[in-house]
Amino acid sequence: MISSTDRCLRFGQNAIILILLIILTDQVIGRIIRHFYFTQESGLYYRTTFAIDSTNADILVFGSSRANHHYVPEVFEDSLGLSFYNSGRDGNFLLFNYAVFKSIVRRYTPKILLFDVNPDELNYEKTDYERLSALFPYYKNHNEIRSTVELKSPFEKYKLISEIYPFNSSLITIIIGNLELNKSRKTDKKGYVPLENQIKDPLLHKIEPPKNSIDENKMNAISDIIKYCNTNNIRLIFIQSPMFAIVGKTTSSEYFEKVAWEKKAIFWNFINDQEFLHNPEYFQDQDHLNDKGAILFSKLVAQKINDLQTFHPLTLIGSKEMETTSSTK
Amino acid sequence: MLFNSIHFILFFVVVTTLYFTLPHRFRWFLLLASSCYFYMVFIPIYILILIFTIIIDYYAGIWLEKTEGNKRKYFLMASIVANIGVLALFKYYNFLNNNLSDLMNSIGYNNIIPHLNIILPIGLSFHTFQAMSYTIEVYRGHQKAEHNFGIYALYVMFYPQLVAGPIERPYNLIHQFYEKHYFEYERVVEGLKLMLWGFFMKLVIADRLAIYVNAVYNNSSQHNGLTLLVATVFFAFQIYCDFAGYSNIAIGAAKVMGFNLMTNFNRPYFSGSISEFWKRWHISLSSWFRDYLYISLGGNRVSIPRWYFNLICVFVISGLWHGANWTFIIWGALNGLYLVFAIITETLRKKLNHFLFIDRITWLHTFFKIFITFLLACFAWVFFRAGSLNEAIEVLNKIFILKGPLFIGSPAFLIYSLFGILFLLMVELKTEYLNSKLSFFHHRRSWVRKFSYTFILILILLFGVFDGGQFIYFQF
Repeated sequence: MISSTDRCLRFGQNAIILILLIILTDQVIGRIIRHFYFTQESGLYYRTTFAIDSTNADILVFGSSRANHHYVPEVFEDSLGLSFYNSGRDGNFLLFNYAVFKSIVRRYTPKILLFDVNPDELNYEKTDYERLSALFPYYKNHNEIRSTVELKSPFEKYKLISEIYPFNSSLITIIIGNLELNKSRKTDKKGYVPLENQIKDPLLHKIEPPKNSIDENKMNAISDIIKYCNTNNIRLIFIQSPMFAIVGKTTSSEYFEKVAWEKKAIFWNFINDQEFLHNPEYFQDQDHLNDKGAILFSKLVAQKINDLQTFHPLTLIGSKEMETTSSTK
Repeated sequence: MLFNSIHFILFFVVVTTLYFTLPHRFRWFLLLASSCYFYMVFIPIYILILIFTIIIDYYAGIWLEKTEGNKRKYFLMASIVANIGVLALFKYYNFLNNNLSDLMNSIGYNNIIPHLNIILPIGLSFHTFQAMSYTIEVYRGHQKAEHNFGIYALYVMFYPQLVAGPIERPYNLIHQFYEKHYFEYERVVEGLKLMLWGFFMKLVIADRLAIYVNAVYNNSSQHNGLTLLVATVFFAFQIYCDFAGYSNIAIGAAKVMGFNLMTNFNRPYFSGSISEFWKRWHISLSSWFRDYLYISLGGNRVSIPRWYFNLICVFVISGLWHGANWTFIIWGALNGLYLVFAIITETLRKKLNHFLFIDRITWLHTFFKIFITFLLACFAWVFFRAGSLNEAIEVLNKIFILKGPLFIGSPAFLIYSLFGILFLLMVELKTEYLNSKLSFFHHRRSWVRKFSYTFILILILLFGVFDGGQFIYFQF
């Protein structure tokens, strides 16, 4: 008869062998996937990798899909004579962008940063934390983003010991990124991905964004970004780009107006801009401009930056320069 | 506490280690304390509801045993009224009140009965039914009353099956709390295997499918028939893997500590009829309804119309058990009607199969029966998943037209979903028809077993959804 201690020992031995096998498999497969993640030359993952590791553009834009599809690099480069990269990413919001920002400014100091913010940007949303998983592949080699990634959950740093976990749900996308099966992924222009369609429902709707509580982590991120830019003489502009909807005053936009006043940043609000509200042909859907609209919007923003540079050169950043513009008429 | 969380993994390791370390006489207390903690992680205050029903049922059991004659009936009724009363208050009050309001509004009156702003305690229907099975069994004389309050409380609160079953019977579970369980290698490994497979079902299949299903059903008016059909089929697999996954984790966790819980699922989508489906789906609930309601109503030992009534009645109540919404009632009624229809048409169907030669090709006949049963189940799932009756009818209307292109969403996620379903079907097909011929988890060679555990774990890491959230059946 086998004693209880012997049974425990047998279990322990087998458990150790199994754990070693799991660790070995995880490390081997994870490293292979990591290799191919960073050899992609197109697509969403590639664009984030390029923004974090390679870009040295003078002007950068951060934000969600609304940033990615609204700011046309060519327009800014032609108008301002400065290089431009669009690091906006579909479905990722302030905390993600804050981490990308930290990675970039660790490498070099850009001249102008445009942060495209949504009407409910500062609201607490659980999914914003879940989507920080987009940063997992960079966690290992980028110390500066770790504290942001760990906001997702206190267990994240332990889960990220696994080599496979950072690439969870990414395998097919990574394979496609390396095989270049999906030719449409090639269409990004310095990060910008144009949208070609027109809105199907050209009726204006009124939107009252949900009154969720303001997320303190997001406010801290904003403060950090402003502080860093002020210290390093980077022109920082928060922008709410147009929507094809009448959007009520939100806690977030009020906060940005307030913070712009108090902390010497700039906030331009185009959310209810009449030129866009009266022209549905500029939109792909309620939230996104199409290429035609994006070009027009980029020209407007570039012109405003030009004016700002002319009348308030960067070296004069101070309380006088604070500007909050609401295009709502 | 959610099973699919790191919190639970840590909790499970700590409780199991302590369980085998502690002397036998303290183990029930450890399990009770850890079960209380497990439950209180959700909404702490709601443990008072559990304590309330536990106290009532504990004394009802003792009095039922002591008393003879008609008084026993009163004690049973008191216990049932207390349990159903709690369920009615938390689960059905607002539903009934809303329906009353609609009715009164339609005849020009206002309903002044207030709406209650309460959250349904997690797993209320499960532990209420488990508690009721105890008093009914004591009443019937099949079970002795439990005199140790702690053990009785543990019977209701045993953490692996506290919030979503399996709904246990006292004669299967209570005596196990008195037995001394040793650390048995084979049993522990068997339990862990079940848990691993449960996690795979939940994280890789159910939560992955949920992404597509939710995207479509949460905006069903914007989607076409083909998309809704695919979403409905996905939902059939989602709900199965969600609930069977939970059951596997629960049964596995209990098994590691030496407890045998009843089987809850037995590859239901391989059923050849709706009657068989209900013998394979949520077995602990369907057998509960059979033992305590269907048989009490007379079962099939009554006139034929009454038999049909019994079947439909049991399934309507089963629907209502799932949720306080007309969609669940219709879902239950549909299943009852399927059964009645199957009984009425049995001879005709046999003749038809014979006439069409279907019954002479065994595999074709089996496939045909499984396919039809699956279609019927999917038809009913539309009501289960839809938010309202109108939505369900709109979805079915569109499905029957089947017009328009398929909504893809994320192509990669769609491929993961299809991979999950295919993998599940292969495993279940193997278990259903080739059990002894191909078994990686039970292979005689240790390295094959270890590689298969590793393989499943790697699949979970690669394709699992780690932010999927809670199990569907927790809401019941």
